[in-house]
Amino acid sequence: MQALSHEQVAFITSDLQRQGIESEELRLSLLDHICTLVEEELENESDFPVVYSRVLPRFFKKELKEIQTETNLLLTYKHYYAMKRTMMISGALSALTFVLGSFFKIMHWPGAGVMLCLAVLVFCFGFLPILFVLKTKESISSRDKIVLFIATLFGIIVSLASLFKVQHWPGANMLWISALSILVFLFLPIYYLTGIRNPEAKLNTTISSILILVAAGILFMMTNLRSSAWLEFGTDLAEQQIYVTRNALNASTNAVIASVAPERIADAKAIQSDCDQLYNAIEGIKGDLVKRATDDDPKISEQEAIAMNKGNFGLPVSTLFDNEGKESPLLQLLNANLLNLRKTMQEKHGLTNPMLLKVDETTVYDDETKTWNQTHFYHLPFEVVMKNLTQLQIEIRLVELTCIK
Amino acid sequence: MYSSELIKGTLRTIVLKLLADGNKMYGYEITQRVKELTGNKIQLTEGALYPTLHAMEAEGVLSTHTENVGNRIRKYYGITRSGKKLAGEKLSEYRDFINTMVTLLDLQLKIG
Repeated sequence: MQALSHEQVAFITSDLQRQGIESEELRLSLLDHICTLVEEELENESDFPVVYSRVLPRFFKKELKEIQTETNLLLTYKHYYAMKRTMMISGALSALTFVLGSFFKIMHWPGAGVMLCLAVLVFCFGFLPILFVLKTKESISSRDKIVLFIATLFGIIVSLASLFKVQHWPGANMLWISALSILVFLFLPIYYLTGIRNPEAKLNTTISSILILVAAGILFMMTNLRSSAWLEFGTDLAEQQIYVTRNALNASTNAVIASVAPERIADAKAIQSDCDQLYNAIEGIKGDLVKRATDDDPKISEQEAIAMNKGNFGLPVSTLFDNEGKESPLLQLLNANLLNLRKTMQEKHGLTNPMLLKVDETTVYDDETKTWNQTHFYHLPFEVVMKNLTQLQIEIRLVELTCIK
Repeated sequence: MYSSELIKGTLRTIVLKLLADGNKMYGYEITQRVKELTGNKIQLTEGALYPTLHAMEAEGVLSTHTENVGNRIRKYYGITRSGKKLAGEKLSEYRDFINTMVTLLDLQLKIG
């Protein structure tokens, strides 16, 4: 058998390198293999270039670089196929739980929250990151990598924001706004400015950019979606009226106490002191809520705080309940005091009205039994919790009035 | 010749089995040996073989040593201890797979 000359081996080596076999190890393996094949063929055919050009195509489908790409893929991504499979499974899982969870949510069936959480978390921390890693391996240009990275970031934040919004968790609006800011101020400029440089992609880039901008506009519009102005005006008025009623009741209670017969004055004073104590405790809870809502800014009044915090579900929940949805010590004390007051008033002062202070009463809503605390304070917006606390003050004044009379 | 899809999934098993007895072989030799053993029915494509060999080496399943042959270097592949274990697993998995396929596709195996 005729051995290849130094020149011929050197020629093949440099040709392999030229055709994209970058790693030396791989080049040496291929070189030996090709040389063996060429040497075999040279038995029947004497022209080296002819034989070489006939042997080489056995190594690839389209171009020789395939071998290098496949080797890189297998080396860097020993787990490439496992990753791909995980991506597919996590994608399917999150899509399925998302559809099911939304359906359960609409039907008010239990388990919707868990499913939506699972869907979004798997999507954000399973599917999207793996997709990003696999995609960046496919595209080499750094522009594509950056665009992909920002798009992934946007996807994660916007999904989390939606979850927070649906679950009424604090921080939803902040996440939502950051997602939109990333889209409009980061993704869009980079995508547009880099895309427009490529003459072939110019039109598509422009159209996509416009579509993205419109989509962002629609999403932004939805951020500020509220009920109609008239409805808002109506609820505002109702909220203000409850304060009017409470203040009027305060005044008339004072008037009634002033006119109590001298022999009952001690009794009336006792009732007043018990009721005032609790009334003030509630005022204290409201004050806490307002303080937290305004970051302890004394210039902002209670009414202003309520107007500013409409639709804030997170603050009351985090103030009055712990992470597992159990009543905070503050709320537990309030419950105990209310029950105590009712007992005292019933036993000593002849309170018979069963409508008042039904603290131990449960309500059934959507086939779910809720405690008095949950009904009045749990997962309700700031303005409703404040309204319910004021309502409670009214009830206490009513108890006071009923007993003194 | 079988389709490359059929061979692709079994490439590692074939390599492991060929080297399992402690033989040291180089790439070209592996393709020739497979051709010989299968009566030309299976021809490993070099495009699939080398990436797999390199990956298996990186995974510690195969070990290598090089020899100078004329004016070039030849890389011999041998099996490592973990490679031997993997070979056993791969072969029994494949045996099981074949049995399943026989049942699934209702193949009549000719015996003898």
